[in-house]
Amino acid sequence: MKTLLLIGGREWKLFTRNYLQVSIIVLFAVAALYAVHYGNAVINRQEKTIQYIRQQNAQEQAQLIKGLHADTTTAAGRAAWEKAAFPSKVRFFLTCYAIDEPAPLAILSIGQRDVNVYYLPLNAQNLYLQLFRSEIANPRKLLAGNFDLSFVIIYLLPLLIIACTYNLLSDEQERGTLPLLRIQPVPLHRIIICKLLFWLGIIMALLCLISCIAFIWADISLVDAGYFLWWLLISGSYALCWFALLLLINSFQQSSAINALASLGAWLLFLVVIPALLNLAFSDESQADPTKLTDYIRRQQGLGESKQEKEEVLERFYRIYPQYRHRDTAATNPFLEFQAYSAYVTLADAEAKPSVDAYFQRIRRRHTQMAAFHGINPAVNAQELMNTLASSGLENAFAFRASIAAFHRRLSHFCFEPLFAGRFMTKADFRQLPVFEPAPPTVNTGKLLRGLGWLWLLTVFSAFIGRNRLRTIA
Amino acid sequence: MRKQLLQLAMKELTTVYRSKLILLTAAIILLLLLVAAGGAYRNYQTAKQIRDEAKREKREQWLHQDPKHPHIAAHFGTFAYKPKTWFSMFDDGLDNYAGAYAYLEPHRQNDFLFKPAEGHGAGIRFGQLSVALVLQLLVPLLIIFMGFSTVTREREQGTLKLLFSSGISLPAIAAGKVMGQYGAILLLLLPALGLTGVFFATMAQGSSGQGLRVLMLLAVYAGYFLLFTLLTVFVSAIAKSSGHALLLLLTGWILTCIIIPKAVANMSSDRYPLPAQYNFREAIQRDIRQGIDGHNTQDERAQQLQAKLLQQYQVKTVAELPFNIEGYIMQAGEAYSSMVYDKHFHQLQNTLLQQDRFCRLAGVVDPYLAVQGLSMALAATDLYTHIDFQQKTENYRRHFVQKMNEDMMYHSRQGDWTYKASRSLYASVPDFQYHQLPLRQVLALYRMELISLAALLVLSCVLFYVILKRIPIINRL
Repeated sequence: MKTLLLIGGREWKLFTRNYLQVSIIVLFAVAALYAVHYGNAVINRQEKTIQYIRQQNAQEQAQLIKGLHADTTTAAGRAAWEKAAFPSKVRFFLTCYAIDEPAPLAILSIGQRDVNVYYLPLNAQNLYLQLFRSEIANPRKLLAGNFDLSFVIIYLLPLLIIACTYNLLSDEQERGTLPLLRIQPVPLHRIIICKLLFWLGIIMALLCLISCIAFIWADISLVDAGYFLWWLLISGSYALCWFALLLLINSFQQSSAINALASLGAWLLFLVVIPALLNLAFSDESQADPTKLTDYIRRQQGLGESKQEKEEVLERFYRIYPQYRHRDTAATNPFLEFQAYSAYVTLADAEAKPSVDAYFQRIRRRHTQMAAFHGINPAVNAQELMNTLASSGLENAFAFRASIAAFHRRLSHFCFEPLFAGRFMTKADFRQLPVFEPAPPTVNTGKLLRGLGWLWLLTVFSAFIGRNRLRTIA
Repeated sequence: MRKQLLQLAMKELTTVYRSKLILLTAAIILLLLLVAAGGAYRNYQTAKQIRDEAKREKREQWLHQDPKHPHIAAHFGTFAYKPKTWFSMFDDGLDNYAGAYAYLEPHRQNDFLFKPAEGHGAGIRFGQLSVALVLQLLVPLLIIFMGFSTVTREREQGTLKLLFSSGISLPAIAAGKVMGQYGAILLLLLPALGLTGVFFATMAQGSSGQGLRVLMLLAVYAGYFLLFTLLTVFVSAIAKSSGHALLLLLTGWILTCIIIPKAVANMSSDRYPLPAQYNFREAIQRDIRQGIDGHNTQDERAQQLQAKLLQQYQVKTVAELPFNIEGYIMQAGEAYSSMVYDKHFHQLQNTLLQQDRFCRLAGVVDPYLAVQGLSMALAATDLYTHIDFQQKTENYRRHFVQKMNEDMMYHSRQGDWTYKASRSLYASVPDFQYHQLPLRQVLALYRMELISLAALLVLSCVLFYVILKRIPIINRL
């Protein structure tokens, strides 16, 4: 401990005299602050949009429901009443919104929230006609990516670590102080490790400070203290992994220039080459071919005009959804045509479901296959972990889609129940109007620990080899 | 003088080729280039096959759909598939982030769906390996790696004094080193570049623009590499030590290739915010509601239009008109909605282009951005191509909807929705073929990048020469 303090004190003195290093750290802090500002701006814009949609949608729904009391003696009043009272019209005109609210940490790790949709208008028409939407975005900006805190930690923090620790040993050699260190009572490898620990302390303190500022700035409540600890654990583990790699690089006792190049090589390997290679390997369009889905996102029109065809469709529908069968009213039903149409689109959805599910299944499988490389892909792994924590990854987009499908079923039922009963909508019906409930954001501990495990494995592996190599120097 | 320059250059070449480490790095980069080219070729083939097949299938569906009312046939609609461009094998540009499929139907200008990035996790944001990525990101690093110590080492070893004593000036030494280093990097890349060039030249027969595009791409990248070589040798000449030169150059690389591109793209989206899809569609609907509803002849504006037509044709009832008024109203509604879409989509595209211009402006000082833009543009995977494709599909959509409405107008009677169009009508709608922007237009659009790249080259030559000439002799030793 005494040695650590002694070496730490000396390093601190050297550090405060080295303006380049100080200015690099200051620059890093500035980049981090900009990143928090940027994340805030992006997520605030999304939140504002969501709020506006909620407000507009509530107004529209209230307007539609008000039609129940419209004066039906006028043409406009009659139309308004029909829109609210005919379940056949409600299923078309009543729009609800499925909304994927940003989780508290999305500000720090925007993840895929800018690529995937985060709100979706829905009515009781075909699900798949409505499910595939996109949000307006500039593709060049999506390609460049987000300058959020996760970017700063994943891309820039390793560079900072490299800049501070690439010459732990070589510097002593080049300054001519190595022989002096060799004659000390403390073994050389311990001195190097102490220097490394000093920097570890500085970087971790910086990381804590920035994270604290980010959490306060992003207004993440204290209730979410668990998030803070997870966030620190993930970013800390990632930083630690880089320290271990730098220890390994230092242990080869090369010159400062070679060390700098080797460290940058490692950075390139983990941040650019391996992810880029994996993306290339898994970007074959045949792995997830959306052209197979295009038939389901076009308007359906196969329902014939004849009564017999309509009844056949209804019969098929009732076989799958017997709860809607009302024998007594069917014959005189004013909604027969719309019942048949609803049955037709529902059956079309049911028919499309296996293909759509298979498509998502393939995407999921590809995602799992890519995740198998996390052991040698620490940067992507760390980003995935941060996205998982911020509920902004692919998994969350999947969960959102699943909850949309569930909500659409409830919304359809809301209209189908009166439609197939052959009755008008009532005020009581509208009190039962389904409200979209997103899956509550939960911390997927198992997934987080698995990802962290890969990071720790790489850390322990590099640290172990690095330390052993250093030991043999003496 | 020329002889000395050549000797210096040859010496550089020999040094580079003697270093096993440099050769190993170059080999890795070449390997990555080959892997990138191979993977891109596979991707191109599958994407082409899938999209061609889908396109053919949709065309068949359109041609062989049952005879039905022309407007209903229009509602059945068709799809537009963005073809994967030939040069996307070289630089896939925005392909991962731009939707490639759109549903074409009456009354609506739909979005392009299925951005490939939607189906990926966090990994996709780290970039996908392509020949362009290797050339833009990794080759500059190789150049830095090869040349950071080219002058400093001479100084550290004391050979710089010898050179000076033989009467060669520092600018001349630097010039010789630039020639040598540049020659070395071109020779290292030559096998890969030659292979790629031959590949493109043989595969892209028939279309004259392709060969020119290859040459342009080669010129752009050659200029880019020269710029990095100049910078590397210059920094090496003014730096105190090799380590210092390396640190400066790497910091420059990180700023130019990693931080600035991202920061600039983010700032541009802050400065010119895009509307959310909801607000965008809401504004369109608001404007459309003020126009003509094509499906409703009782609409107030439709009534006005009818009155005008009655007067124009000197008839008393709409039934006496020489065409079906419903078809006419339908097309009038379509024309109105097209006007609204034009207004809003132009605004949107303007914002996109403003954002893009902001990024491109940064390309004046950041060669990486300039080359990235030019490379995407020449490969037809850039924003302009994306917008051009959208506009051309939209024109096609309007054309085919109009054709259907006109058939309804002249061949069906009012209120008769049982009228069925013949298959020959479907066949009279030509298949959609996308022709990418011609090279001349691309070059005109990206002239800023071309000029700035050339200016950067000339400026750095002049600036480096002037600065090196003015460094006092004592500092050079």
